[in-house]
Amino acid sequence: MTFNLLEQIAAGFIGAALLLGLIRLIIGPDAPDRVISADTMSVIITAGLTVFAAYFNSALFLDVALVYGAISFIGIIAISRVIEGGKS
Amino acid sequence: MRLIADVILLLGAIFCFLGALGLIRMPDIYNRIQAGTKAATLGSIAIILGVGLLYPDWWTKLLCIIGFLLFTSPVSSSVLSRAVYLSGIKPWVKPSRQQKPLNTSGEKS
Amino acid sequence: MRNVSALVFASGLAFLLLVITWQFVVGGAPMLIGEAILQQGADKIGSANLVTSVVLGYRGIDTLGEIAILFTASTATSLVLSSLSAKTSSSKKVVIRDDGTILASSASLFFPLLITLGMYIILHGHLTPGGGFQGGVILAAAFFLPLLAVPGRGVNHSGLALVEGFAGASFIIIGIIALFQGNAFLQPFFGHGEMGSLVSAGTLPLLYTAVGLKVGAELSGLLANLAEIGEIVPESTDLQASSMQTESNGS
Repeated sequence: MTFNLLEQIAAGFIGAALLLGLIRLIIGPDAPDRVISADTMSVIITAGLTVFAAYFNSALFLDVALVYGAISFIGIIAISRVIEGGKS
Repeated sequence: MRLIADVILLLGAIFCFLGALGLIRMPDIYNRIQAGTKAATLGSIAIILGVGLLYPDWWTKLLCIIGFLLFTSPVSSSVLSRAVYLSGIKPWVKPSRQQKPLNTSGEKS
Repeated sequence: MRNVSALVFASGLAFLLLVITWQFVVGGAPMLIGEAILQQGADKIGSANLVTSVVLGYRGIDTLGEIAILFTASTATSLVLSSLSAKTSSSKKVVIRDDGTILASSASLFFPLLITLGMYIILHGHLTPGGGFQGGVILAAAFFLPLLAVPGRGVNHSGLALVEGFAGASFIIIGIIALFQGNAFLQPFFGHGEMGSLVSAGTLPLLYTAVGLKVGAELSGLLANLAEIGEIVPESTDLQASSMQTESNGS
């Protein structure tokens, strides 16, 4: 479906949020900062994929969102285990 | 109907944006966890609800995603904050709290 | 140096995102075979996902080779890791750390959800994007989560080996049955069915189930081996215990 003005503004806000998360991901002083920004970005991307699904009018992106959420959860937990043990 | 969905979608996107802004602005790891997780989770759930109002056929899968987010996001952030605390990073204290009572310069540590 | 590499990475990511969003064509690929498969694949194989009909229908023997590569890699890795653990395990006892209650309980809640998600991805491989390899990775992640939550928990390696061997053998047996029906090796038989429904596209769902189980069993065995190696590193556990004690005293 074609987006009207409000939906376009919403998509712009999501993109700006991802951009801010990417900035923190690059400049973050330590490893934990980067992991936190990756965590937040994965939550936002999971919601953004449903907006993608609405834009392209196909439910396939919902499966992608589900799988993305699961894999990012496992990844964040594994990295936090590394941080916990590794004294970074 | 579409107007309600758009308003909910826009609210969720603004919450996501504010959470990411807190990720940039907050002075400390613990504050960043708090800003990022809470605001972004609320915003994401609002966005998914808005999409569900736009496409009522997708309710089951969208509810699955909402349950997934409500389940994974607190667990991952709590595990992460516990790991950060155990790795020995001290929480940030506001400088005015320590030295002078009326120092409002907002200096970052 | 790290900033430069981060900058290069970010610019590459930005370039990829720009390509995806603007959808400009980077080069053209006049593949004749690709065109032919695009035109005939949906009618010949009957799978709604054309990639699956290529992976298992047109290039089934390639997939068999990929499974063999994965099997070889995981076997070699577990061989190396087991010799390593036999060398170090006698010197130091395994210290199990204190683990968060939240993660332990949520892992046991999350395990059946992830198994369901992985089986869903595998079984719908011929309808939606995904399939045996992706769903197998999710199955392996499901078996990895309890290991992350409670380090030092044992894994039933013989059961994993049984599942792996059974899945690999069933893949080949399906291919040989196709030979007995007078077709080529691994050619889908069973008829097409109605395109887009769950039981369709002949033997492709069965083949993808075998691939998914095999990939999941191999990867989870590999991750379990790595986690068991990680438990036996002697110094870090002592540091962890002492730092936790000092922190609890200080506060």
